[in-house]
Amino acid sequence: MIKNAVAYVFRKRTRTALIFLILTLILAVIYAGFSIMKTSEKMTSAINSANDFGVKIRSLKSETFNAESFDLIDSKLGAEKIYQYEGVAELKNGKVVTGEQMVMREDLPGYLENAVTLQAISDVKKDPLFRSEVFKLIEGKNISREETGKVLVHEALAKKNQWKIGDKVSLKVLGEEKELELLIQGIFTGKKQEKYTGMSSDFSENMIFTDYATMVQIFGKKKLVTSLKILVSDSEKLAALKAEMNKKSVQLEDFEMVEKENQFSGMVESLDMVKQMIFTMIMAVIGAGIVVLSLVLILWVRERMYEIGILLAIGRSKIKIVGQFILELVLVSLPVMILAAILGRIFVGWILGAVLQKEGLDNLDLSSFATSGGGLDIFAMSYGLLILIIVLAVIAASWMILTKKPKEILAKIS
Amino acid sequence: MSVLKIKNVSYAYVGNRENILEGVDQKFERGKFYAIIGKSGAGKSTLLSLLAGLDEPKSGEILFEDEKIGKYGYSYHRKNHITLVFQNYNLIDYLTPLENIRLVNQEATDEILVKLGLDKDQINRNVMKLSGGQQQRVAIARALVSEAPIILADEPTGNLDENTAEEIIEVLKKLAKERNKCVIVVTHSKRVAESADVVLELKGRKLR
Repeated sequence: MIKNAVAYVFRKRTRTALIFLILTLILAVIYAGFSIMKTSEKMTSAINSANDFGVKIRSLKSETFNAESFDLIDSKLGAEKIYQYEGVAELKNGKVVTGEQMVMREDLPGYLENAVTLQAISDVKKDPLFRSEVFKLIEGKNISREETGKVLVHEALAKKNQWKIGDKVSLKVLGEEKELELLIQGIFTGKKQEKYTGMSSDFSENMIFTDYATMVQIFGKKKLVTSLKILVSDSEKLAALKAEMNKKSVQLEDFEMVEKENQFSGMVESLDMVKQMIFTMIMAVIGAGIVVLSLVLILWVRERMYEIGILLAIGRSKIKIVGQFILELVLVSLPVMILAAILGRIFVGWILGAVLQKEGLDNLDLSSFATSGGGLDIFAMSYGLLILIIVLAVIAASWMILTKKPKEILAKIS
Repeated sequence: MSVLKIKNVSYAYVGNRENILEGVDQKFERGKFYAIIGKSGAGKSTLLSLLAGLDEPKSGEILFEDEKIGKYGYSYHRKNHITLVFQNYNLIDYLTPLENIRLVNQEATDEILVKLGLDKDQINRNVMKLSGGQQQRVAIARALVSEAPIILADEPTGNLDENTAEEIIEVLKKLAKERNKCVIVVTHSKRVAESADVVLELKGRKLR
């Protein structure tokens, strides 16, 4: 059976080439589909893990507020306070990254043409952009809670200014006199969803992260923040936290409280849609694969009716005959794996790019996902599915002939 | 002792009420060369199909060494008890002559093909690139390498010239005598019938 299958594959080259192409396309699309589904699952999981139980507090009256008002909320609940200041700063010793702007502004003063966004956080690692892996450190290390005077810069900004770890960045926070000189401790990559205001600080590449303690150098004793997060470990403690805040004499009506921050809910929904679309696509490809392969194989099996008749006449069982047909396709599918793996990766890039653009997520950095493809497990699963398609298609194609009596087949061939 | 026995076999084609074979009884023995003759449409090839287990009789039974041929499945019967030689050779088109004869016996060598007049080059060539006579020799060789005790041949010389047909008949006769096989040939050929040990005529739905 094996020798005959090998002989058929190598000697009927045109048919082998046609089957090779069909199997390559099916495997490549299935592999790409599964890879994209797994990638979007990973992304959803990363995004979800960036969500915390707690409250995010913003002032309703001004951009910034003094977080000292919330010092009364003690840490009996194990609550952790994350102070965050987001502001615009002028880059004094370098040039910002420029790009295509969605908003054009002609009224910008000169110092705002070289502006960066300064994110000062009491624990940079807890920033959702890092936790969701939208931003990933590629060099150096993150800023720990105890460190001060350190910054993380984007790789594009570092490249433009030829900065490396240990170099210094000079910044002047808008509205403040004092200039900061900070040490580069890490370089990150990635792209977040951007909001355009017409300033260079809109771009992900012009974001600089620093520790909150550094900002205290400027603000003095005031705990000036744009937002304050009070985090607890679970939903029960969150209820207790809210109750405690109500008891304390904080003017809560002056603040906006957002529970269980989920700034990526839109992104997660979009990713869910992508997953749904890809799942539908995979099912369609599997269905179409079975149909196309079966149609080709019906012609192919009809052509081999003579051979089937001979094999039946010499006592070969129908199961062995079908087994040989399946084995032939499995043999063709072995080299198919190499080409399909390459094509699959290309498809992942194309499909992710096209779908994410359609879903409005094209400014999200997915390069690492788009080029990685699925792992070996995904490829093995895709190949397993291809084998299943082959088996079903061969059975479907052979059914008409194999349900006939050997004499009927032999009568047809004579 | 008979190797193959037909007991009161009747057969009708699907959709036909009238039987083409009616109460056929016959015994076949090893070491003999049988010729079954009869007019076209008399049911000679149908009878051969029934003996080969390619089809089932409407009634009656066919026994191999006193056991029903379908006892272990018809595939088993075809694989182990009989070997078939057809008028149109029935060789697999993507295999060489040697690979074709190995379909029935993995251990077969090219010796048998050489004995039947094929040279080394022809043995390793695609079987479709051989002449009709050479292809029938390959089909005969496939029957020769089979361990089966019964050879069923349907017009084996029908497509061959006189000389080649003569050679093939000689080979089949030798198989019966020297290797103690039961050779049953369905034929229109007078020459084949003359060479047979037993001539049976299918007439009026009966084998006489």
